[in-house]
Amino acid sequence: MKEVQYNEHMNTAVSLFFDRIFSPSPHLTRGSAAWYRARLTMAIGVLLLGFYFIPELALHLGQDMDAETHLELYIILGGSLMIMASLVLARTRRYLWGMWLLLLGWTFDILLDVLLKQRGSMGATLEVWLIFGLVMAFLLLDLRDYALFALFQGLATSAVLLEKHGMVFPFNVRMHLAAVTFLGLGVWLRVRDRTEHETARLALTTQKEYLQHVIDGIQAPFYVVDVRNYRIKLANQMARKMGMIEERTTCYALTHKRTEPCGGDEHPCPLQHVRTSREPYTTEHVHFRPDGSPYYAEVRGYPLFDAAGNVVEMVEYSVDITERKRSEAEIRKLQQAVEHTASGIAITDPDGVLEYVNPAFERMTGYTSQEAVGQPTNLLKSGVHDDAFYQELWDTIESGRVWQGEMVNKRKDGSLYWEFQTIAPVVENGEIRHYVAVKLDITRQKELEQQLVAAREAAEEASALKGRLLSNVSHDMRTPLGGIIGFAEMLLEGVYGEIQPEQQAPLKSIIESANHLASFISGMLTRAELESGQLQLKPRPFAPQDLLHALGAHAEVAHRKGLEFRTEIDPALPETLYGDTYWLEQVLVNLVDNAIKYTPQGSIQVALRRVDEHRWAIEVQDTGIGIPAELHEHIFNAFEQVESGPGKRIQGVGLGLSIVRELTTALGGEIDLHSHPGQGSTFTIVFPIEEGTHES
Amino acid sequence: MNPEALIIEDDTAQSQIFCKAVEQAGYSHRCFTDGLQALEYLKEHQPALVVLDLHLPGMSGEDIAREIRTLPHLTGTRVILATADPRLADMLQDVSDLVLLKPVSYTQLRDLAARLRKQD
Repeated sequence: MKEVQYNEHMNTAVSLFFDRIFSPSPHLTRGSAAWYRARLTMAIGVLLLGFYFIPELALHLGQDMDAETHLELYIILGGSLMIMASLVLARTRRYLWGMWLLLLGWTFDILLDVLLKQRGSMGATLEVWLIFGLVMAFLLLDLRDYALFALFQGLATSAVLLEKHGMVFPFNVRMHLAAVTFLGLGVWLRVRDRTEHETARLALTTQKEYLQHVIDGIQAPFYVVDVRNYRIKLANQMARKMGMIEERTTCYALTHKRTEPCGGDEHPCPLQHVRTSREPYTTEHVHFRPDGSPYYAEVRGYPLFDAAGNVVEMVEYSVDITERKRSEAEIRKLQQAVEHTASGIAITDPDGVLEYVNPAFERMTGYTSQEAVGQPTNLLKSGVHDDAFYQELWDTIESGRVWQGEMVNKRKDGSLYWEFQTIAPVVENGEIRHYVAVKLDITRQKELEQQLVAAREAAEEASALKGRLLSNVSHDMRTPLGGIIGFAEMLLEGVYGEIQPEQQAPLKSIIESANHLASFISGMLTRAELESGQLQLKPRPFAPQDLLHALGAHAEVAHRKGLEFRTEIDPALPETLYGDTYWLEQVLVNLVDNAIKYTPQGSIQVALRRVDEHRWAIEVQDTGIGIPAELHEHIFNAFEQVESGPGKRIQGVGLGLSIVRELTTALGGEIDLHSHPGQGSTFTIVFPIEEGTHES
Repeated sequence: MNPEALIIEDDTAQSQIFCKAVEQAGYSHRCFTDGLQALEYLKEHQPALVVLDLHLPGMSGEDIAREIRTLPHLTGTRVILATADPRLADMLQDVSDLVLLKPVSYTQLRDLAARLRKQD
């Protein structure tokens, strides 16, 4: 530490010497020609004062004062003053005057000396040298410098002493010694100055490199900005990577590729803030990478003060926060999604204590977030479900699975509501950290559901009632019909004695009408079954010919009407088909009934055919009155009839065909009609050949 | 002597028609209106033909038909069931020889009964 202090003193002293004595006017640019001239003036002035004027002055003061000595004294004094004045002037703007004055002072003495005395000796004495030495010692304060100085001084003093003791030295020897003393001193000081300067420069360079190395280690752009002009004075490697940094590069050009300083709310200028507030400042900017792509940067500026406390520079560094911004945006998005979703969302800790609830939860339950958070979830417990229900829920989620279900919960106001809940465990590193519950208020749906169930039950009950009613009506009507038909037939057969021929027709009419009523009842029952949607299909394998057995009675009726009745089975049909024979028979019977009814003469042909590999068909062809094309669609509607002529209706067609079509659809088939008025009709019903049928 | 036919039917008009039909087909006949009484009679006798209604007081026609199938001395007895329910007709095929859907035609029953008699 002492060494350091000493060196500091030394440096101060050296700078005192040079700055005070040899420093020219501070107004002159260092290193300029004028600066050198001024410095030379001072050097010569100091040399003249030290080597000539002061010793000469001292010599004359030590002599007896005669007129000549007085004159010389005044001359020397005048020269000295002139040179001293030139020294002072050299340190001012008037350094040129100083030079002229120096020249004048120098030549003034010599000229006067030569002119007046014709001699040029220099009467230096020991005292003069001592005084001069003391002045130098005071100025130098450096022992080593002083030692060297003293060596030469000693030599010069010895020469003076030896001269006094009779040894004669020529004048120039003394002059030479004195000159060498100062020359040596100057050289020494120069060399020392240079060495020190070099050492300091080296130290400074090393330090600078070290600092540069340190700031280059900062993996973010780091630079120092001059507060007066935004220019970058120092930058690290990351900053230099952002763009070329030259002497006049500004911070905004480097980071923003702008030509104007930053400003406004979007891009506040850190430097302006730091300069006014004198405090560190942090903001976010969009910066540009060397390739021109923008990125988000967090910019921090710190003020640097000078000795007077003014902000002169700002240290600024920026961190790329694009990734942080992105994840922040991502988090914000997720947060907003959770906040704005219509589903209630609650997050609990592993013990079921609420940690977060969203606004939808607040609306659903009536509890605010502040009221709910920190409470256990049984805050909402309604008491409707038993312990086993909750146990099952907890068992599920504690084992890491998702629980989903409906439950009744209680609002803050005590009212109950239904919610559909999905509770999922949030597992981190194999441990359950939270549970997330997503809740939907399904109270309204539940009510509707219950209404629907009730409505359906009522409808089903009504339908069943209608079915039962129809069934009873059917039964109660069929039995007396049996009486009507039976007795009429017996009368017709002559069981009760011979009847008159004209009585036969009315009896047949009775039988036909009763039969018609019976088939109408069957149709009503089938329709009721179709409408109630309770048509029960009992498909089973059957032989195609079995289907035609149901037509025995129809063949008889047709024959009685004088019609030809033919049946045909395509040999290509499989040995057995698959279907509900009861309903297939109903379809067939209805079609044949219809054909007989609307065929006054000709024939009726019923055929079971194979359509292709996968389909078979029932075909009923007649030579009846036919149906106009525009009515083909209508005849399949219930209770619609075809008018065969103006005002004349053929009764009972509607129900039969509408049932046929509905049954066909229920059995998986399709019905097709080919008919023209007066050319008969062909009904074709195509069914798929079901798997499990046997090929012949 | 003519084979015996048993008519079990609670509707008297229907019963009358059935009786006439089997009589014309060449059977002697006995009529019952109650299912249980008919069953008692069947345990002691061996009619060739039983015509019965499905809806009967005492015991249903279906049960009587099943009972007949279990009685060993009635293995040769033919059973004709009459019903007003078309759906049931389909299901009763296996407990009877014939199922007739009401209204049962006099001529139809007469002809069927005659055909059965000839087969025996």
